[in-house]
Amino acid sequence: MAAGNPILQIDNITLVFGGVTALNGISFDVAEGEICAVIGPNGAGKSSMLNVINGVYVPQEGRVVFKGQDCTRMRPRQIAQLGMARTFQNIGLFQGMTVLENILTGRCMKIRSTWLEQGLNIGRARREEVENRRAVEEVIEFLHLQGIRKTPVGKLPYGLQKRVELARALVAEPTMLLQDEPMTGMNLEEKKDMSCFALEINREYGTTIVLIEHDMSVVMDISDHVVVLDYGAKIGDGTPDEVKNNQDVIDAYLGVTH
Amino acid sequence: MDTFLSLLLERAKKNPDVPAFRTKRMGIWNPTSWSQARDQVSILAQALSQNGVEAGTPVGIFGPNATDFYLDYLAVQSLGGIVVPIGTNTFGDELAQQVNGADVEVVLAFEQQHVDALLECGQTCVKRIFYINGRGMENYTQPELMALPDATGGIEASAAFLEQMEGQRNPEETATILFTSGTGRSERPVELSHGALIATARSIARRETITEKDELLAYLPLSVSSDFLFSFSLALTTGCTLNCPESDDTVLQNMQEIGPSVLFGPPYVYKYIYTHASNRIESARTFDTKIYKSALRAVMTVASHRAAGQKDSFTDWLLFMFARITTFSPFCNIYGLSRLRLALTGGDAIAPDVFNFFRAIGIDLRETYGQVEGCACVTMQSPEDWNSDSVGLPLDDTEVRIENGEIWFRGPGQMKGIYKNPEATADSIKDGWVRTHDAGHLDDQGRLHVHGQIARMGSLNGGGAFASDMLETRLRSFEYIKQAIVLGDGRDYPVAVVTVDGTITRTWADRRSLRYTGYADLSAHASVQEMVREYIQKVNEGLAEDPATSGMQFRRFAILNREFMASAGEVTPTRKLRCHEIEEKHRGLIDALYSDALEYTYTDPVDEESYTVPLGNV
Repeated sequence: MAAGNPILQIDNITLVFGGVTALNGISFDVAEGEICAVIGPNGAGKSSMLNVINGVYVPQEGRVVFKGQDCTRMRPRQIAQLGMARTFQNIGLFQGMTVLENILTGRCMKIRSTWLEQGLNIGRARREEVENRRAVEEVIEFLHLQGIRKTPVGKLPYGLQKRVELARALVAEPTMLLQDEPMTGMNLEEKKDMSCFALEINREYGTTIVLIEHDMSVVMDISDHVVVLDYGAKIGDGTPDEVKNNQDVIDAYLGVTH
Repeated sequence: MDTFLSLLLERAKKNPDVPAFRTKRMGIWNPTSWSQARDQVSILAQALSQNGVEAGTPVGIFGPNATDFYLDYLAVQSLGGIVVPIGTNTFGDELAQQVNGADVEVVLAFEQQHVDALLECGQTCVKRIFYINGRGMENYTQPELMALPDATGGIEASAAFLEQMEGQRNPEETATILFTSGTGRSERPVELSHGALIATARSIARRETITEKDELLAYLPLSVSSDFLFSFSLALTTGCTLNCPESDDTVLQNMQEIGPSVLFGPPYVYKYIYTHASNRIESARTFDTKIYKSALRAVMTVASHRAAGQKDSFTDWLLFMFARITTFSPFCNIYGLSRLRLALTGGDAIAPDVFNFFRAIGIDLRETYGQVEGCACVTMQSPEDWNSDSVGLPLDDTEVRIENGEIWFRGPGQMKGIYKNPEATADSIKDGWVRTHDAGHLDDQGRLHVHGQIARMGSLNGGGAFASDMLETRLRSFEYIKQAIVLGDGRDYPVAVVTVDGTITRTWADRRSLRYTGYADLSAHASVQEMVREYIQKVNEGLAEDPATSGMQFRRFAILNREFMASAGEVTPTRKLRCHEIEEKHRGLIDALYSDALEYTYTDPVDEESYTVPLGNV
């Protein structure tokens, strides 16, 4: 996917928890339609960065601009309505509900009918029910989840739960998808599947993806743009090749080459 | 005399609104009625005709089981073209071999995966590839590619076109080219005519009164001859509905939803259900397990009496009925078997314990015997056959004879020949009889008994007879053993390489609190070795009872670190083992089995990891 204009601008963000500075004056842009990876050692501030982007944390300084709107102080729900969806590092699914029901929850932003209409199954509620189910089925087909549609999520292995979480994010039809360590704890095959899905989502729907990842081979293979954080500061920003050859990054994260 | 096209037109006139096909997509079963089928076929046929498909053109059909592809069959056949079905997971050399072997010029493929496989496999004869789903292929520029919707756009359905085509067809024409499975010999393209396939399907339908009210499930890869016969041909000849599952991993669920009334499955399907059930019982509460086991005992007692030809005693019969109603009727419902009135198996020998189990719980399971050369079915058991040792009587107008221990047959269902290979055809058909390369005998009631492939029978050093197929079937009877290969021809004693069923063995190990990391570790566990050893000892005791088999007792065995896999070329699409490939690949392991070594360490080419396989003495 060719990268276009910046869809997300991070401008001089500083986030402080008490005496700890989690993020220190960070700025970078994410272009429309690209896959951007945020990497860095443990405690570098990657998850905090993601939480700032989708409004869970409010930074003390700086601005987050998404699609030209300043959303630094917006609530997560408002930001989601702008077209941003995310997945979590620790799976945040409803364990007792089926895969289908879990994915359906991702559509709740799209529901316009009132609780009364829904309760009586009349008017808009009826039409929306069909629309939402169709959207869910499309995602189920896209991510090959047909075999587990009716399985409670709690019974699924970890790799599949991650995929269900991705499905839930995707069903909201986001313009931007945030993924917090989508491949942690997966085996090689699951990682391969997950990388393919990320690429396909990007290509098929034109979704911009920002992901945090530890696995270097995955990051270098699939991303167009890599941002490196260390102790709350940005130490690298560029294409995978540029980052790979950046001496600061090598020292801080990749280790000194032998 | 009929062709598949005339059957379609007749059905579309007789029951235009009855569903002919059903495919599950996006969570919904989508029916296609006979008249819709006719209309779609007429559009497809016109489009193909405009793109150069004519009588005698081999057309590859490459996709999953779905309405679209069965309609493609009909469209190709209505023009007199030859259908070459290709299984959805075929790729690489195997794909190139099939495409080149049948001179396929045009391929109807499903989506990117299939198009990529075709472009990359190194085939040399395809001139045009149609695809249905263009997702991910926006940037493909190959001139041979064409989206099927583009080809059919603007064409109107025309029954007259099909009727005109019907006049030009004749039943002697080749309907399809199917490949022999290649477990022993190399794969060969077999030409089957409309007449042969329809006669075979009619013969089965007549015997079992299969009608338009029946429901079938099509789930075997398209390239498998049983799918062509028991799904496509049977549906067209009888007018019953053919249901196609949503994907490979939803077959069991979809079966439960549809509740097919007639089902064909290779032995692995029945073994899977059998093992799946055993596994669930293994992990159930003690009380439930007790109830299930006593119910099973009640039905098995009666089944064994009936197999031996004895009458049931009244109490046995009462317990039998009670067990069936209280336990096995719900059991069948869970697996989608409650509407099943005819279950067929074939293509490989079914393990006797699995066969007996299904007969006992009330499933009318019958063994069939057949080969691609005979439209996949030559003989079939009758309802009275309570034993899995025979494969029943020949179909209508079909004869079977034994010459020098080898089975030969002739009848309306026999092949036209091996495609473009007169020498191989002459070798396979002599004086109108077709050879099978299988050994067997006929009993006094005319029923056929199959002993196994001739190429796999031999003798041990020291002169004792040796039959790998029979020994493997006995090993596979055990629910913990998934696959087994037995060697011994020209050796001092028989040895076995087996793989364990991961699911049930894990449950078994968890109940015993064994510690293991994964499948490889579990299969090498001392307790698993011990369990398998005990079973093989039991098999040996059985072999010792019969003087004809007492020389074939196992002395050594190994449990492999992984299952035999199709992707490693070790298994056919119907999950039969390719013995030659396995022998070649695991030569080191086999040699170690014929030494005194207690373990064998090797690097598995599949994942390039090193494994140590313990070798057991029985």
